[in-house]
Amino acid sequence: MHSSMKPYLLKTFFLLAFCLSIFGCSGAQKAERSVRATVTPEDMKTIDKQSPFLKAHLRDGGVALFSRWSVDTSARTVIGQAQVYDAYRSSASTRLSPLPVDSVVLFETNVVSNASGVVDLSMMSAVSALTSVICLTNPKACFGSCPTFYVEGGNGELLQAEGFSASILPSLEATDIDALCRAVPQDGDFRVTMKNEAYETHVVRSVNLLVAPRTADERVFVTPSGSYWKATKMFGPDRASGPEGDCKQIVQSFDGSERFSVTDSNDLASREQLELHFSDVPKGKTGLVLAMRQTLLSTYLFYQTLSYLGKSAGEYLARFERGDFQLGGQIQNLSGILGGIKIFMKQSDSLRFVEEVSETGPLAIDTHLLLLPDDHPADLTLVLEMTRGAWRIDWAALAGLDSEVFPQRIFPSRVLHNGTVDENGRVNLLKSSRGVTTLPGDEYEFLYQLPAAGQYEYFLESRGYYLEWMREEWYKEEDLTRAATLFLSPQEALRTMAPEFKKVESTMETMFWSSKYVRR
Amino acid sequence: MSAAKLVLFISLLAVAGCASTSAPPGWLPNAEDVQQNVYGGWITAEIDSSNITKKVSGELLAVEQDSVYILTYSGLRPMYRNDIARAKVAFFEGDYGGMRAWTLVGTLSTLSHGFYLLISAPLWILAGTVAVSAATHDQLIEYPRHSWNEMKKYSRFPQGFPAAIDRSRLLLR
Repeated sequence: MHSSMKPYLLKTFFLLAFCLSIFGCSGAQKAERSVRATVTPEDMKTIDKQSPFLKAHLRDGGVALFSRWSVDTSARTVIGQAQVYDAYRSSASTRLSPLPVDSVVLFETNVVSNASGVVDLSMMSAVSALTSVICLTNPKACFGSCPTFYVEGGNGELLQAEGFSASILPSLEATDIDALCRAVPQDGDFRVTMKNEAYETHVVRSVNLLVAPRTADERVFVTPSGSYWKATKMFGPDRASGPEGDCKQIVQSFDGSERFSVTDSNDLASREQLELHFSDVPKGKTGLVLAMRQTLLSTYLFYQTLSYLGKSAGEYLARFERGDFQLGGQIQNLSGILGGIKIFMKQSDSLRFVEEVSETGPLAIDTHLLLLPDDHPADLTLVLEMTRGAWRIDWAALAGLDSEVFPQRIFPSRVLHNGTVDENGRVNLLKSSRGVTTLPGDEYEFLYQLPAAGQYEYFLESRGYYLEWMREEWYKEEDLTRAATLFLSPQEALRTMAPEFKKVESTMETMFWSSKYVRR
Repeated sequence: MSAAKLVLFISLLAVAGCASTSAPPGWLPNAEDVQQNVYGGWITAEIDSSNITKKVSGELLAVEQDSVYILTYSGLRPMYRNDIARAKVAFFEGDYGGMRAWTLVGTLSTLSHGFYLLISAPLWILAGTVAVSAATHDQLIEYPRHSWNEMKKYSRFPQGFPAAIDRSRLLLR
C-alpha cells in the first residue's frame, strides 16, 4: 500500500528545475559590438550609452579604454578616466583628462546580454515547471482507478473500458461488464490490451469477451441487472435540456462530446435534473440507452478520504476487510449521497421512478440500457436526476427492443505480458481463483478467437480488485476529525469540502489525464 | 531508455550543431570581459587556391581594402583577401555548460508530466539543442556570410593597419 518512489527526492529535483526556469541559471552571455566613426556631433550622439566601457581607437593604433565616461558634444571631447594602450599593447598608462574627439578614429562599445536561446529555454522552462508544479501540488488529480482496457476502434486503439473500478479492496472483488460499443476487430480475431497506468496494484482474476450476434441494423445493450437485449430501432430525443438550457446536440450521438455540469460552490451533494423528451414512441418493449462516465468528483472524494485517514488508512481499510459492518455502512452512506443517475418517467404532474444506473470510474464511457415500463406513453418525458458535476453523459437515446439475448463467453486463446507470450498467465486467468497481479507499467494483451464470421456486439467481462498506493503528499492532510465527519456526517462534509474542490475542479480533468503512469 | 542513455543522448544532441573556435584555451575573454579587451578576435582563415589549401590562425589585427593582417605565433602574416575562401573570427569564449545542464534538467523534469512526457521531453531536447547551437554562434563572425567590412570591427585596429608601426614589435600574447 505504499509507493516505493521517493517523493521528497523527486520534489527537490522538480523544485530545482523550477528555480532554473525562474532565475535562468544558464550563465550564458553574449557580447554585441558596435563601432562608430566620429566625424560630426550627430555621430557622437549615436554612441551606445548602455556600454559601461568605451574604447577610443586612436590614429596611431593605440586605444583609450574609458571605464567612466561622458561625451561633451559642444567641446567635442570625451571626458573620463581612461587606460591608454599603444599599438603594441605592451604598456598602459592612466589618463584623466578630456580626450579630443578629433584624435579618435573610431569609438567602440560592447553591450553584454543573455546568449541567444536563453529566452527560448526560459519560456520552455516556465511552461514545463508550471505543469510539474500543478501536478505535484494537486496529487488528487493524478491518474488512478483500476485496469484500463484498450480495443481497436477502426482508427487505432481506444480506451473502451475500465474494469471493476469500485473494487478497491479484496473483499470488494467483483465482476464488471463493459460494453465495447466502438470495437472494430481486425482479421477475425479480437485483441484487448490491458494496462496498469496508475500507482496501484491490480489483482485480475479473469478477462473474458462476451459476444452477441446481431445484424448491421441491430445493437445489443446490457441492463444494470445483467440482461442483454437486442435493439432494432434507435431514436434520439426531440428535446433535451438541463439547468444550462438546451443540450440536445450534445447527447444526440455517441461522439465523445459530453454533457456535464460543475458542482455547487456550497454543497458537493447538490442535485440537478436533465429532461429528455421523445415523441411518437412506439408501443412495446422500450429502453433508454445512456452512454456515460463519472466526472473526477468521486475520485477526488476517494483520494481525499484516504488523505484525511493518512497513516491510519491501512488500519481502517483492514477493519473494513475484517467485516466491520458499522464502518462499511458509513462508507456506503458517503457513496450513496453522490449516488448514480436516477431515471423518472413523467406522468401528468408526478414523476414515476424507473431505475437508477451507476458506473464507477472517470476513464471510459460505458453504455447501459434501462428498461422502461411497458405502459410508457407515446409522448414520453424522462427526467434524469443526479448530483451536480458528478456525471458526463455522451449519448442518450431510446431503443425499441426485440428480445433478450444470451451472449457467448470467449476465453483468451493467447496472452502476452509486456510483449512476451505468457502461457502461465493465460492458464491462471482461466482458473479465475488465481489470475494475474499487475504493477504500474504492466501491460497485457489478450487475443480472443471469434466464432464464425458475422456481426457481433462485444462486451468485456473482467473480475478482480485493486489496491490504491498511498502517496506521500496525502499524509500531509491527515485529519482524523475530518475523516470522521466524512463517515458520520457526510452531508456536512460535502458542504465543507465544496470550496476546496472548486479550486481544482476546472483543471482536474486535464491534470488527471496528463499524470498517467507511462512505462519508461 | 535508461537514465544514463538519456543523459548521453541529450549531451550528444546538445553538442551537435554547436560552433567551435580554434583559439588557444584561455586566450579569448569571456563575454563580460570583451568590454575591456584591447586585442582583436581570433581568426582562422582558410586559403583555398588551385594548388594550396591551408589554414592560418591568429589574432586579427586589421582588415584593409585588399589585405587581412593576422598575427600568428610566428609573426605577422599579411594575406590577400582574395586568397581567403572562408574565415571565422571568435571574439569571446562563451560558457554553455549551464545551458546544457539546463536542457538536461528540463528534460528530466518532464518525468513529472505523466502522459504529456511523450510531447514535452522531445520538445525540451529539441529546444535545448537549438538554443545551445544558437548561443555558440553568438561568439562567431564568419566570412563569406558576413562581409569583410563587418569582420573589421573585431580586429585590434578597426581603424586600419597603422602606417608607422614597427611590425617586428608585434607579438601574439
